[in-house]
Amino acid sequence: MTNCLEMAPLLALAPDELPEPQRALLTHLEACPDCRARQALFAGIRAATTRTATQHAAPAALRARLAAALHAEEAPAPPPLRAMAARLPASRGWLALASGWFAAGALASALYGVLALGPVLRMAPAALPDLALPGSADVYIDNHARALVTDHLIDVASSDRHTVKPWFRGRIDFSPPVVDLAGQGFPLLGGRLDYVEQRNVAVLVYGRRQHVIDVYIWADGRAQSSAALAPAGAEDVRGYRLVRGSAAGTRFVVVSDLDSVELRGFTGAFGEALASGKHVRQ
Amino acid sequence: MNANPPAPRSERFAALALPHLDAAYNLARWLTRNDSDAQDVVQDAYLRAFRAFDGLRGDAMRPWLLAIVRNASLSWLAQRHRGRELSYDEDLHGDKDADGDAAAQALDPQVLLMRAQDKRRLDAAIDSLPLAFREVIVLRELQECSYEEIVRILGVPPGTVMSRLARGRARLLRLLATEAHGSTR
Repeated sequence: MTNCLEMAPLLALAPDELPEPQRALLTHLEACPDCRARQALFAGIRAATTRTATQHAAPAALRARLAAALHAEEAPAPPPLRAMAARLPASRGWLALASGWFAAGALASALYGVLALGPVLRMAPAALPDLALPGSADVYIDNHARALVTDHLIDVASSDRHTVKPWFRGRIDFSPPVVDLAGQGFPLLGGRLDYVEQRNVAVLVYGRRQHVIDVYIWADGRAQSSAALAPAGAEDVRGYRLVRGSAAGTRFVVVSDLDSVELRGFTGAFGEALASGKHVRQ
Repeated sequence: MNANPPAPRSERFAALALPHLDAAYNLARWLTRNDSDAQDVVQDAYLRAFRAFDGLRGDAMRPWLLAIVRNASLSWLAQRHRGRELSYDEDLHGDKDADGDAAAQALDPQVLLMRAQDKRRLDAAIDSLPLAFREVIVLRELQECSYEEIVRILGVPPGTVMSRLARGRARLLRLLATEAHGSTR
């Protein structure tokens, strides 16, 4: 006959946690209200623990840092933007950079047997659109810095644009084009909703090594600007850099602590991908 | 320009491992008791896991990953506290507490249950558990891992998981019975 002393170590366990031989001991419970009460107490504590104890969710900054670290781990040598840009005459600015990308892209395309240059070739310098977006550089840089500091960098964390794009639906009256630039060394980390000049703005977040790149993106009210175009130079503010651009009916502001060459490289690749309409076709 | 090579290894890894990031962080956070340390431990563990990723064959990702996170947490604690925190054997043997037992017996079970439903008190009690018991309670009660998963994560036999769990719960009960506003014992 089992006694209460033998039962004691078993009472903290749920019946299905006990191996078969010990389960037989539970018959003791039928005759022993004390042991039954103690078993019930443990059951209550277990359930309360599961329900009540804090579940610490991973901070978004960790998620972003990790995505960038994994990417860096895999690709120790990202595309040589710096070297490429150094060969280009500075005065030709973004267009030169874009054609550099275009050359690199053509090479890559040939390697993979895919030639999709049409949309890029048609890209015209056009009349430089008014690139002014509401808000000064300070506004964007403050938002970017705040997002970094408060761990609120990303609302929807995903490297899949088919996850990020639909997330904005219903949160904002504009469906931002989300392009995949992982092949160019800028993995998508996710998106968030930010607030600029009394308006909600979609922000796409990309990574490069340990750096984070924010892209604030708006519908371009003037709609006719279907061609890509061409950011002016990077504005430097307090250690961050900001580049404005527009393409395919959108205007965007890119903010990061990347150096200006890499940042223009990113902006070029981003504008080019928008102009090529790849995000629409897929 | 559609020149992307097939999904790189990092993307395959991310797709399998990132869904477990909350679980990984939760475990590390409970073991290290500190946010920034937990973030470092998890990042370190994920990079280790990424490097060892190819060795993962048909095993479930979650217990494999949590085992790495747990080991990284323990290494971190061993470094930080030079073994002080890791008095595993001591924890496991110095397990008798007549006063605590008496307190737990004397208290109305309803009072204990109410304390267990008070987030602050419960968190403090779990935090005060010795590491060997804290990890098993977190894995079982918070992460709701199966026995098989815990066996893999801790690398101990099922009987050991069972006994640590039973003793950990008894200790948690004693802590709730004797707790003085989350003071460590």
